[in-house]
Amino acid sequence: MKRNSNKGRRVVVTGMGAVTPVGHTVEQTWESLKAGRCGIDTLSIFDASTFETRIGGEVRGFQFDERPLPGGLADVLDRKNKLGVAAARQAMADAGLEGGGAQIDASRFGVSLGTEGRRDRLLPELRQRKLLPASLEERRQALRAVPPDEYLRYSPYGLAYILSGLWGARGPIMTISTACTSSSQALGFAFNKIRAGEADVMLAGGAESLMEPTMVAAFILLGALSKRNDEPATASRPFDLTRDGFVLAEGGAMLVLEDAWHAYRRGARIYGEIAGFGCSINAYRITDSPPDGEGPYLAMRAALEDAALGPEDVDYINAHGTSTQQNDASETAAIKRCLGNRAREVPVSSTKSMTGHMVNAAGAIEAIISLLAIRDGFVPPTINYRTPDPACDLDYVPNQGRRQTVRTVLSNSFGFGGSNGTLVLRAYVA
Amino acid sequence: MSREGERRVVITGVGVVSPLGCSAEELWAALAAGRSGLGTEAHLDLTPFRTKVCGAVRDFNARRFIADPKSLKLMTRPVRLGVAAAELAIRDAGIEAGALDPYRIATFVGSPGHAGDRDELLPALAAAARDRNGHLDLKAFGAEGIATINPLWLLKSLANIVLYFVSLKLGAQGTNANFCMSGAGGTMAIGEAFRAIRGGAADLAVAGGYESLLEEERLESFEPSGLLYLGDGPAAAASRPFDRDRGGFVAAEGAAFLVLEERDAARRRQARIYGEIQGYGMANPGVAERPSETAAAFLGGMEACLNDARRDPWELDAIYAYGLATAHADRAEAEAIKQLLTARAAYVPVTAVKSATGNLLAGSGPLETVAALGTIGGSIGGVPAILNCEHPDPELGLDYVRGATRAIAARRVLVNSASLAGTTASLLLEAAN
Repeated sequence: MKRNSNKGRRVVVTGMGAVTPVGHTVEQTWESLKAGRCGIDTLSIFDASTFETRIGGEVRGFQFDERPLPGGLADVLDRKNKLGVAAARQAMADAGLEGGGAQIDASRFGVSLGTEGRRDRLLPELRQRKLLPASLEERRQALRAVPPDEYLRYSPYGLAYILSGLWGARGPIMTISTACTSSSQALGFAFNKIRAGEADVMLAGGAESLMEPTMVAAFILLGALSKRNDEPATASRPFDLTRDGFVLAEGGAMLVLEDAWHAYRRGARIYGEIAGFGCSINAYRITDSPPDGEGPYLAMRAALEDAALGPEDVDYINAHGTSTQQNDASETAAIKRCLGNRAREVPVSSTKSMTGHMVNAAGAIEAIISLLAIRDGFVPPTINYRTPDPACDLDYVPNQGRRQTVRTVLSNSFGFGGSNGTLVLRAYVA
Repeated sequence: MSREGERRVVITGVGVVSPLGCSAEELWAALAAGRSGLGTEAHLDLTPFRTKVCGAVRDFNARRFIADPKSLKLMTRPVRLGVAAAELAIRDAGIEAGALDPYRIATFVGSPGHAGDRDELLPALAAAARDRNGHLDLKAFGAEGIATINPLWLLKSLANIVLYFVSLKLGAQGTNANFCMSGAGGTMAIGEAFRAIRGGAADLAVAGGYESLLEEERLESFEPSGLLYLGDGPAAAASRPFDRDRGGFVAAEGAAFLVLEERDAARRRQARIYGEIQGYGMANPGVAERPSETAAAFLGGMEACLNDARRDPWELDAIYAYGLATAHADRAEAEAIKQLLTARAAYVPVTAVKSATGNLLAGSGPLETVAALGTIGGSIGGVPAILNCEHPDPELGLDYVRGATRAIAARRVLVNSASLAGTTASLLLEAAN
């Protein structure tokens, strides 16, 4: 038995994969973001033509590679899980770890995901099982027709089961569901597992698809979504005065986190380091951050402290920036409180202006974007920024990305239910 | 045997809402007496289902625990069970909101994940499905249906809604997570809370789990799985972990939460200490098969936990097994315990609380942790028996506690949990002096 006394190990990212509304790979996604291209359009996955909001960030033309999955795993795949598997395949290949647990110590290889289990066939199922059966006997018949894998297909841990089964991961496995903060926390807790010596490699990220009638309806009812159906490409306009809600999006985003020494020994390419993670909860309203940004501020402060860095070290903030009135103002207040005088000097952008809000996968895709900003020395823009809001008075990198040396990035995620996560991504210097 | 200078973590509050009663004392008394909590009645009408035996929480009055009517409107029954158990744990610990730096209070929950009240969608669905044989008309759903849905439906179904309500209780603003890992999730919540306090990220944590299989949607998708007990024998005899005639787990509902505190702080405020958490570990089968439980994953979780605590297997006084009562899972777990204990396997008593409660999934790990505190703290008067373990599977030769509570002074107890995908999580508890 190994004693895990080596606390404080460094954690690097050695593989990344993404399937998003603006690209089917990490590099395609990044090219789109650098060019300010938007992935939001009229919904096509189902007929939303009479819905109050009928736009979203779909992964158009997504072809799932049906390479045979072992052990009937294919039965457990809904669209969200397919997006997750596709992103994970890219990330594992990118890290040179296609062999997974056969290539490294399987007991020190884990999976940490931010995702949810949802019924993607809720309406037809409800109709079949509840609405149509006229008699008890018909109801019983309908129940007997339920497939044996349904409990797993709709379980939040189904994707972790698939990924750990695909690559033989026998270390820590976690699924975290804290709405929009899920995959930020999944990365943060995976980072802690490696740092504490409980694992050497963690496949971590998120997957999401809310493109289902009842989920879109539910977000409409909350009044959370933009209603700019006639101008989908400019509907998501974080920090702009005229913003009117977020735009739902789907996708998968996965990273391979690795102990730095482990990565070095096997000669892995290193994108950058996860230098810190901060986590807080608002204990405020279920859908809102407080106007003074208290909870988000606590997460940002904790992340910087965890990384032993100060405001002067921050080169770029990839904002949560959902394009709702209250989030963007609250986040701006939190950034000012955290960075003090430096707040106005640091570029802050919301790539949700282009990808839409990938909810459970948002934290993971934005961590990837932050690492690419470091790699290429490029800060992606906030597009659709036209009318300044006096409550949002920072440098939001309006409409045009910038070349700039980026060593340290804060990536923010805040969610329904009040959980906040901030990751510190940093250029890796051995 | 903690590391020198390391912060230690004790449990100062427990809250239980279970088929064996709505307090830790009732749970301990029932386990001590070998009483089953299983029956044939639930809040849900079981008539259309094959499930005849269940572990229901009886006489649950949410208003005893949740005063605000607006909050109640946002909570489905399983959520109410969870929030009530957290409320009981916080009351039990005697902690007041405002007594601590909010950022130093952690909150961790194991939950079933996204789960709304599906029936609230029925009027909208009816609008979209007027033609009995026709297809769903999404145009009608959008135009007329959506407006009939409770606008709070999404919030009611939020995966992390119990985490939200628990954070409000003490105004907690510290580290947090909501683990959706089936039967391992609640144990992970306790384990991560333990880590947060030990590592210095928090001074106090509220952690636990809740889940219910006694909801229409859950029974619908679990009955075909082959994992549930679907027999119609006497309720008290339905759940038979490690018995030759075991036939799956009994669907149940409930919740348990704990308050964890840094030991010196707990002592300073003269809190009652139920026991200490010394270790936490997890592992995973990493197989693509179903059923997925493996001896290697159970062994890996137990070893990681003992490693974390710097204890050796021979120091264990008892094991609270996961004891799912399926043929496959019990064999894997028993095999792992044998491998862990080697020659001592014949002398370490093993019990399985699910024999009396059924499976509360994310609620079971925390419930069984509270049960184990009843063993090390003396409230149960020993290690409770596994009910119905009349003919222990001969291949799985362990020292199963059978018949009646075994009156031994067990000071150090391992608690095992797992998800239905075989991910394991184990905790090591030790008596407080």
